[in-house]
Amino acid sequence: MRRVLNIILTILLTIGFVLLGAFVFRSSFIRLFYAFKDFGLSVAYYFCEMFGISHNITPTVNSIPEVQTPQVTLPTDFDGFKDNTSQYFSLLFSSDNFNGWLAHISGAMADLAKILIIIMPCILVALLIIKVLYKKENTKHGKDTVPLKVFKAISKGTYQPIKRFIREYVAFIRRNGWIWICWVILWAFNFNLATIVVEFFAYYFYFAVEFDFGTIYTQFVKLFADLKTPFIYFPYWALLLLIFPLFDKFRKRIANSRLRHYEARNCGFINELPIVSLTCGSMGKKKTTAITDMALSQEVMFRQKAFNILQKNDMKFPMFPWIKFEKAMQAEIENGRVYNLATVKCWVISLEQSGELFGYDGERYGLEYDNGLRTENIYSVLSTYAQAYFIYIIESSLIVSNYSIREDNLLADTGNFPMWLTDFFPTNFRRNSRHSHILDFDILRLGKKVLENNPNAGSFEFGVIGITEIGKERGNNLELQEKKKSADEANQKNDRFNSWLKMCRHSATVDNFPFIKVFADEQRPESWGADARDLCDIVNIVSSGELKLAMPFYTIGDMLAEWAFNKFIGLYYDFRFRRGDNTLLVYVLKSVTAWLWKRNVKIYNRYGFSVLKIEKERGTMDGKVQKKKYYLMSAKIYRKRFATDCFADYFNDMALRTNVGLNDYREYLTECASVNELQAQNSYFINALYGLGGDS
Amino acid sequence: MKILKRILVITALVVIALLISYLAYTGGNVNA
Repeated sequence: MRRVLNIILTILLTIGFVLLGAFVFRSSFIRLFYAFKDFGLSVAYYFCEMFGISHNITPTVNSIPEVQTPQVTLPTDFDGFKDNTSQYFSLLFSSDNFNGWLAHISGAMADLAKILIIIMPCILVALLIIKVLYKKENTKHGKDTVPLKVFKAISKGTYQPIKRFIREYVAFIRRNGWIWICWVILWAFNFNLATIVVEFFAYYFYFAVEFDFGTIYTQFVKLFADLKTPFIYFPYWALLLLIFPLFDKFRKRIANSRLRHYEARNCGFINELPIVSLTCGSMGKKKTTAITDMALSQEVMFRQKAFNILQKNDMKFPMFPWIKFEKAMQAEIENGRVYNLATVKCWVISLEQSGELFGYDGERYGLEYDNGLRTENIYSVLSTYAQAYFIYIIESSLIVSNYSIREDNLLADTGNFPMWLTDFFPTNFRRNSRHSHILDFDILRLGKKVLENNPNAGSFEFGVIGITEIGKERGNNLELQEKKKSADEANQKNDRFNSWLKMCRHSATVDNFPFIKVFADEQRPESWGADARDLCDIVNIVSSGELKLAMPFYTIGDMLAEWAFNKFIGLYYDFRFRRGDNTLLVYVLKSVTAWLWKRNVKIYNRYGFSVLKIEKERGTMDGKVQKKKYYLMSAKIYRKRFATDCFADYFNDMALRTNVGLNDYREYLTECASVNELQAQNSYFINALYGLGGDS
Repeated sequence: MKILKRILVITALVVIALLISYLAYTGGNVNA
């Protein structure tokens, strides 16, 4: 039923547009006929001149047709234009003209003042009435007033069905894009825009032969006359309706390119870091946010680097059937025979042993590649290609972390070479999600393991490691004094985690590039033992800047939203303090304010960013500090990437086991605590004073 | 800082509006 209604409306609208074209915009079609005539004559003229065919064709592209004459506003010849221009500039700097303009403005202001004089008392009276009406206090919780009930009833029967209908109809048009395209073409004809396109080609063919620059002015005259058509029927300000969406798109495009530029700068910063880095800062300085952001960028960079290695190795044997090789490898991955870089290498060795080359004609195209320094065998290149392809194709997160990180990269695959969609700022956000792998610390231990015979031990080769609060996990020399290297159970001294840190790049290197990076955070660098910390660069977050907007030309919108919210919220809570019912005025004001507020929040979330001021130093903490900036883009890092309270479940579980809340804690009875109240603190200090507890 | 930026933007908009108005008014007076 709904579909039939949409189709009927579409047909009616189309008929309406066609009728408008036939009766209202008829001159546009007559003008289009002349444009085609110009075009035909110009094309004929062009070919006759080009092939030296004798003719008596006179191109009409430089003459103004009669149908266009009423719309011509510029002088028809260039001399007239020059006269008008000089007259315009002399008027521009003439005092009489300026005084005339001032008088004109004053007249407009006087009209405005008259309107204000009429409106202002009305507003004042309305405000007074509202104040008196709203002064009455009540506790009718959630009850609608009579005006609101009437408004809702009228809205239910009028505004809401129309709004729903229009929304559904717009969705229908979007689903059937060809309708929209047909209408755009139809209106391009109505508004004379098709004529401009045809005239352009008519003049193009004429100009290619004649090269007569003197005729360009006539074309401008015709162009301006053609462009005038829409404004005969619509006022000039209607152009705003067309310009604003384009302007909005333009500023959003600028914002996106700025955000992508900041992301590129972040990537530059991350690339400068060594394999292990420790991000430090006091609580709330966005340490975990920063390492999460870096891990997300690093994963994308690893995929890009793997892709880059694939491209370069492809070029070494350009005629090799890479697609067959890739598909064979994918089959091995699906069969579970290839699951890490070591098995990838074994698979290529087995190919070499069987002499499998997937139909590649080695005799014709060669089996060796000489890079000017050394010669590479085809299987050596295949091994590198396969490892890079494995890193590229693996359809799970490359991040392994001790807290969850969400990512939304998408592997687009049509059955040929798959491509990753990794843009953090797409027009439409991807809805798919995957999360980082759980970090089993045993995979990073070369010595004793917490879980004996852990099946995961030794499996980690490449990826991005994210460890939050690493000091609490690894401790420092002071904290580990009691731990013994010779202990039977695994501890920080005998697990050889630090040895792994020092050697981790060996398992992760493909084509001389290490596909491994460790990002850790802690409040103080000293909390992590010096042996490991000395390997890192320390990224100290000095300050986290306020939220800024990458989108330009939004000052007025921002101001309006802020003003509406601040004004309304004061009134609203004053109203809520006094009354419990729902009134029409609050209902309308709240709807408008909420719309403005939501729109503003969306823009800040989508195009907002903040800058972290960073001081980078060597892990030995004896070098020069480098001042850097790191950009945190809301659209990238605050899109449900991680939980700032990632260990909340531990505390939640503890709290659930008790039967006590904040309300149940005892309060002091006076400003001075009694002995009993002091002892209720279970403080070491107080207990020592009273000789209570073990340390007294 | 934010207030200063807003004042500057509003002033610029008013100036641009007046300028356009003057240019348009002058254009209307050509050949008048």
